[in-house]
Amino acid sequence: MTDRAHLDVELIDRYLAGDIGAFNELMDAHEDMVFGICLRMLRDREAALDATQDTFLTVFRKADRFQAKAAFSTWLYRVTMNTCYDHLRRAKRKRADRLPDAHDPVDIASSDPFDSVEVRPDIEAALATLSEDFRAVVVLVDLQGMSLEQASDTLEVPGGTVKSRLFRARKLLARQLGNLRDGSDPLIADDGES
Amino acid sequence: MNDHDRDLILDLIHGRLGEDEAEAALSRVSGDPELSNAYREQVIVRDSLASAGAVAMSATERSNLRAALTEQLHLEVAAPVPVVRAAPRRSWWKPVAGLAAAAAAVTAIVVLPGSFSSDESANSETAALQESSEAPAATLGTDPSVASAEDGGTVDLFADDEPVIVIDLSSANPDEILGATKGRTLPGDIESRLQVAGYSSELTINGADLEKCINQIIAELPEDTDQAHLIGAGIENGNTVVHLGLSSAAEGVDAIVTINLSDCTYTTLTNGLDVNEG
Repeated sequence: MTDRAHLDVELIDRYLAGDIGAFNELMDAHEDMVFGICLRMLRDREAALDATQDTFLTVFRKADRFQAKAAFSTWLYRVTMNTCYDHLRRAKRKRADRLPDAHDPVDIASSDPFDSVEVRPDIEAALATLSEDFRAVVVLVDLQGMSLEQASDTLEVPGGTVKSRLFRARKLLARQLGNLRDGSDPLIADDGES
Repeated sequence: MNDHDRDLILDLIHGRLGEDEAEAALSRVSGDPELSNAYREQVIVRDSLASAGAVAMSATERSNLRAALTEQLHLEVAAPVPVVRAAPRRSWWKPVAGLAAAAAAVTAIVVLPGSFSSDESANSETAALQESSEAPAATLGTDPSVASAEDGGTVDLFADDEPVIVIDLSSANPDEILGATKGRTLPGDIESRLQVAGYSSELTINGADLEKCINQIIAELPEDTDQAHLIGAGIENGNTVVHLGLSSAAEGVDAIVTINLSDCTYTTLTNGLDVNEG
């Protein structure tokens, strides 16, 4: 385990013993990463803040079940991803309830959905066209700086799947970014895995 | 391109190959136009995404997140509670006061500029209190920030450098408590004012009803309660309320009592959010 992982285990123990300082130290260490993942997965600042809160609530409420076999951060980011998927599912249901006939693709010409995302608009527009699974691996590896192994652990998928998704996602993004810069407006429909 | 080629490119980009393996992989990639194009494409996209930079919460968002988690996880229950006499005062009651404010939907807060700083000892606080008891009664004033609180928002006036009135209940009597709420003369002859939103200028804080009320409540407080901090006041459901933080040397801060001045009922909000009414 890394020094960070050892420290996290200590902090969890201290938190469970009632040390509020340990809670604050854990937040200091991980809240930006959690928020970053949420923001880039959900593409909405308010939703990302909600998901960040939900993630930490889940983790701290279940802290007594954490087993130090894996790094705390791996567990935390796994919960983060699951929380994001939950939010995305709820958002889809809401949209479906509100607009039963709406199944339009993302309007990448509109900048509104990306106003609060803080990623370059062209990149964000391209990312928005990816499927959730492809987007997840790009967010973790390319935007949040995780290794392929960390992404595999976080997403709970084999390393080969991470590689496949990442490779194909980057190819789609390359095409998308090139098209955006050329001024055309295609949408990517091919997001199947090899 | 097959899966092996794909893995080779990714392993190369992500530094997962040994020196010899990397050299061989580079040679293979550079000799094959399809692999070379794919490699370049992957690197360009990765670098473009990396240039997006990190995202972070604003200070307000961070603060709100911590506050929400602290409340929802009931962290005060588990947290070691400092003894007020030995610890900086503001660190204990601010989160508890936040809970009290949320529970009571406080719409205004008393501002009590004082003559002692927040890191002075309990002894100097007592001395300051005794001095303040002799100070002339405060004039009830109006303050734009408090007035705005009446419009629906809660104004956080508990900045870190804001003094808190401390009352030693081991020798407490209503006069001392009421004296602590009176204005005082600050160094430089700057007159401070007690500002309570909702009070008319004719009312005084040390009215007979309040005195009777506080007397009654002191009689009911746990015997080991030896300090009370006047931490705020406001209007709740049309009634004027005063918030006192209570503590004992043995247990530390353990409750906030909110006194309804209209009928002298009170609510005790403990660290565990157990509510006792009297």
